[in-house]
Amino acid sequence: MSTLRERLIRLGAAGRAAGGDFPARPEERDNGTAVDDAAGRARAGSEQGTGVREDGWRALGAAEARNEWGAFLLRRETYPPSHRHGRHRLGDLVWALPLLAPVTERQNRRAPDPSARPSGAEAVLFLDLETTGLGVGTGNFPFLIGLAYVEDGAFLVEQLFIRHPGEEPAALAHLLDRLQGRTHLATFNGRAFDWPLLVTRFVLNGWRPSGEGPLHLDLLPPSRALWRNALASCRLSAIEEHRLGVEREDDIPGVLAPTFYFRFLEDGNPAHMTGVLTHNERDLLTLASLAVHLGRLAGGLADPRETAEWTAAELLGAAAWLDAHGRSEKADPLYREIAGRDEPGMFRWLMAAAERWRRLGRFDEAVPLWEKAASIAERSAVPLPDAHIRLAVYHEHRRKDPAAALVYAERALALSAALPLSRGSSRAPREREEIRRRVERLRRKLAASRD
Amino acid sequence: MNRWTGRAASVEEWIADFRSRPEFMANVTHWHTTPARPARTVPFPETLHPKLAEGLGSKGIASLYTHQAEAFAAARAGEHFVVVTPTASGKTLCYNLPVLQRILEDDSARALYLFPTKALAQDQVAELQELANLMDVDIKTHTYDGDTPPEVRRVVRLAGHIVVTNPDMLHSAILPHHTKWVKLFENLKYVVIDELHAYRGVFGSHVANVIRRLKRICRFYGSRPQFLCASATIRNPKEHAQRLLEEPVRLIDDNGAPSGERHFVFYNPPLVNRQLGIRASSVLETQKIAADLLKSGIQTIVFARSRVRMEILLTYLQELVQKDLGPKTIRGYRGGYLPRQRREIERGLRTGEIRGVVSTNALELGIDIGELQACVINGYPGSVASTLQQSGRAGRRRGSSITILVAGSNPLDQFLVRNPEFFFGLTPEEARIDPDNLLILLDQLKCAAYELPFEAGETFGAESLEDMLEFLAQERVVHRAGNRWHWMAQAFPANNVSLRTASPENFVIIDVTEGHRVIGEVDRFSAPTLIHEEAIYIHEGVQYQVEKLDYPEKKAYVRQVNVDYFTDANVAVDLKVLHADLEEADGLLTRQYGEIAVTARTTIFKKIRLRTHENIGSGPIHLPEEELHTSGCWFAFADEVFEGRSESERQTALLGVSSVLGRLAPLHLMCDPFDIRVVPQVKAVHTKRPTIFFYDRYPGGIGLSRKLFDLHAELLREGERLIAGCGCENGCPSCVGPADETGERGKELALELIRRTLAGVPA
Repeated sequence: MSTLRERLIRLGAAGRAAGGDFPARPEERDNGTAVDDAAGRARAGSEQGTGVREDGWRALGAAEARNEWGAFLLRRETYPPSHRHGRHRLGDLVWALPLLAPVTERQNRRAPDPSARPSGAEAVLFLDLETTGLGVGTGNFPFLIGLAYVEDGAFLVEQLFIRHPGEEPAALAHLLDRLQGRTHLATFNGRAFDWPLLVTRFVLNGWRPSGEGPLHLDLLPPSRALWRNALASCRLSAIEEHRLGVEREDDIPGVLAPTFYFRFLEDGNPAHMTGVLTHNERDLLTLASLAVHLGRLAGGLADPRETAEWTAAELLGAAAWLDAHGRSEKADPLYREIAGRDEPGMFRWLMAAAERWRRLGRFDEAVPLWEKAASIAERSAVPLPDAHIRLAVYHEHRRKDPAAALVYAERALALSAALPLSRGSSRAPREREEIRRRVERLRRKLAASRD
Repeated sequence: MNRWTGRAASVEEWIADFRSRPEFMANVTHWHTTPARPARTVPFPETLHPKLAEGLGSKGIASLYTHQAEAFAAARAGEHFVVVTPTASGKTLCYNLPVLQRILEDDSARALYLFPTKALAQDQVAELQELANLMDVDIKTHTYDGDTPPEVRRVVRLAGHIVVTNPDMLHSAILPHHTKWVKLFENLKYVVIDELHAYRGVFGSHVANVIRRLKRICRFYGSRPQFLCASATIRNPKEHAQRLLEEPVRLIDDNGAPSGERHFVFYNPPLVNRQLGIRASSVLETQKIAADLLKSGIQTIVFARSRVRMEILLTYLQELVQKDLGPKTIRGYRGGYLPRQRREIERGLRTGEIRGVVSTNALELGIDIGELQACVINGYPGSVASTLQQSGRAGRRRGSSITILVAGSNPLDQFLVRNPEFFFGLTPEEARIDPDNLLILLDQLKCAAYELPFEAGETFGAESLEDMLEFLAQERVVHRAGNRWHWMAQAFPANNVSLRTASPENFVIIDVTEGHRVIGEVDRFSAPTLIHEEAIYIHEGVQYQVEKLDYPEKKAYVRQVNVDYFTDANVAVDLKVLHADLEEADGLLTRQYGEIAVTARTTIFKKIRLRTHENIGSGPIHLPEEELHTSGCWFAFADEVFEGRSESERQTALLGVSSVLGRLAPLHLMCDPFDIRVVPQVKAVHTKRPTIFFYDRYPGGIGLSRKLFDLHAELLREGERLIAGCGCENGCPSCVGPADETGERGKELALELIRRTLAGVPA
């Protein structure tokens, strides 16, 4: 009989254990089997001695922390209020976070509860996890818990690094401690990922979730609302680069974080973690900067010089977002700004902005937008008749001016007929029929009024 | 019999008529009648919750069958049990009663139901909900499967009393996310596993490990559920349940349900050429009998061994009875039909609108299609258990039913039809699993490690857990920290582990006759033989030709055609011994068991004319070959047994014996003949002698060839009996194969080989 390992290798089990998507290790050598390799590394690690490792951690600014659950590694950094991360000052969190109250109210649809508003910036805990995998399954392990909060105006970053799985309970206990007295969790996709994952970890470590858990201030949904049509991607890295003025240098891509951690687990060398710790810290700073950005916007404090840089799509995103959060008055100037823009794809943004004014009964604002959209359609290779139809309706029913209405309706019919068939979709024939009926009705009305 | 319509007033009348017709009775080799049996009932147990008694009462149930009462008592006493009683014996109540009772007593109690398929799960929920409504209590039963919408999933996780799912879902969606199911796992009192016999072979070996994982997670949450199981008839229900659950299990098989009179008829198609041993086609005979039943107005189910056969039979029958019954009254049923279509057919059978159904073994399982009156089985289904299951589809609590087994021309069918006492003397097959198959165990161990870290001192399967974990640590998927091993990889292992041989990577079949329409699916292993380019694919009796097989994308594009042939593909197998673990010799026979590598490639296909079944052409198939590492056993014959025989005579003898042994082997092993393969080699590289190889058709093997290694003497003796007992002259499809394939003196030479070999084997 052969050994278990030999049998497994013969059956082809070796090398496929990770399901094939284990990332390749750049320094992997060809000679020697995996056993010798790993054993050699482990020996090298122990010979290095704990002293060397301690120095490594100290160089990173990390030190061992202890509580009744055990030990883990804690790295702290304090940023003064004046610190700028990109274009925003971290000190601005103090007034910007409370302005995000409408966002948290929308995200935490529980029974009306005054605590759904952060009472102040100090009630918010920023959180960003680095984990070994994707998804929120029980085997996805958070090896780095990044926290940040405002205290006495300063911005404090705390990174809880779990050197081996045995340290998880101590780190989780520390996290619970930091949650004490804070009501909101500020994250980027934390509602779907970071927090459910932590709940899983609590359960696995024998804690049972009690109560509803913290309230969320998840910055992903507002980011999507704002930039879905304006940026190629709504990932944090894209947002900070294009909108927050943050430039990262020497940053490791987030997806490589697990690989570095696996390497660290093998040889215990703190150097593997340098890039990951920095990356996570910058993510927390960006999260704060994004909160300031969104807070300013929610408060209607966006500088006109700033909005001048935005595309029409972004103006519309921001304006609609303000509307949805009951900040219509702050949205008005943004909608007006769209009218003055001239960019590719303007037809769609003009129509959307006009639609908003129409719903409010503000035809004085809507009509110029429709007129502008109509003139764009007249010049377009694929002319949509929508603006003309709106104007025809407006003139027929609001202005009681069938003659003006007929002009628009007839143009709408001509445009609709000129639409290439492929663009027409299934709705086109019915739409054309409706326009035709409108034209006929208007002609009848006109004829009747002439009689 | 109504002389004007030709319809029988009852199945009893049809049976009497059949018995009076010589053209049928001449081919009946055996007629077995099981008399009607009255019900044995007992009053409701005193402990039965009044609400339950009330609910059953309003369904017209006033007492329990003895086996139901026994199950209720066993569950109350804290025992794990397995109920083995026939179809339509009130099996589901055996587990529903204790579960509902417990929930009525304690609203926080939870139960998990496992069914092998989604369809069975949905039937079950309907039944439980009906009972809960009758009792006027709020017991929430939910299915949790791939079709459950995300917003409903949350509700099920938190508030479902009874969660009904399948092992695949438990494996890939529930266990890896157990922390979302805290309420279920903390309060799990009962795990119900129905159709226990379906969990055999590879699938069963995986499911046994999924149960290990389930129990591990229950331990973590401090619960220790009882397992309440039900199974169709197999030889070893208790042992199988204990192997699957790794717990002591009580067997409940004292059936108290009534049944009507049942007839079981063996029917051998007549010889059309005695010398060559050629019989009339079993398909045509099956069609004749089934058409007679259907035209007489008797609701009938017809079973066929393969999908192609099933579709051919359906085509024939639809043509034959269309004018009597109308086109939509005869339907086909098999895996690969879309679920909506299958539900519609099941419903039609229950209401009686559908008068006949032609099915593969897909309808063997307990899908609710009501009680049919007659069953015609085309070809021995390969196992006693399957035969009983299929026959059980025609069987009623009151009134007679009949099953007619039409034998095929292969050796196994012929052996049985000519030795009916052998069939009735046979105990049904064992369900066999090998949960410790190394590859299965390793895959499952990864899933388990993902779910919870392993601690020193734990066990998981028969192999040394620590050695396996060390292996996984070297593979860099688990990490040891002190006395614990933690999953430490980016992968989600359950996604890469499929519980079934038929992997989820199905090929979809797209009809391009008019636009693009998905009409069905075929599993990966069957794709090369069923949907290669130019193949005729039959779906619900309609012929399609495969125009293009997109192998990497797993799509077959087919177009409707109307041709008078079907296709059949040949598979070329190459086999290499990697390592021999066991060796034994008895006289002139040397047996070995070990690991082998098999490569299989589909090479050509034949076109076979409908009805006459003559070969009318062929064509090549160009598809990648599949490699399989598995376990096998092989019989090598010493030169002495071939003394005085030429090279070609040796070949003839070996071919004949291997064909007989290959057909008989499944009889002694697990249920599906496709799970074990046989390959003869006149001069095997490994043994340098004439050798017959058997191998398990699953990576790593599932213990079949290991069993054959020990069963050799029995197998050879039965082979001898079959060949010697066959009435043909020089070999026929019913024994060693037709003379034009195996050679002129195939029968004599094969018999000589077996007899000379057996001379050295101790009795």
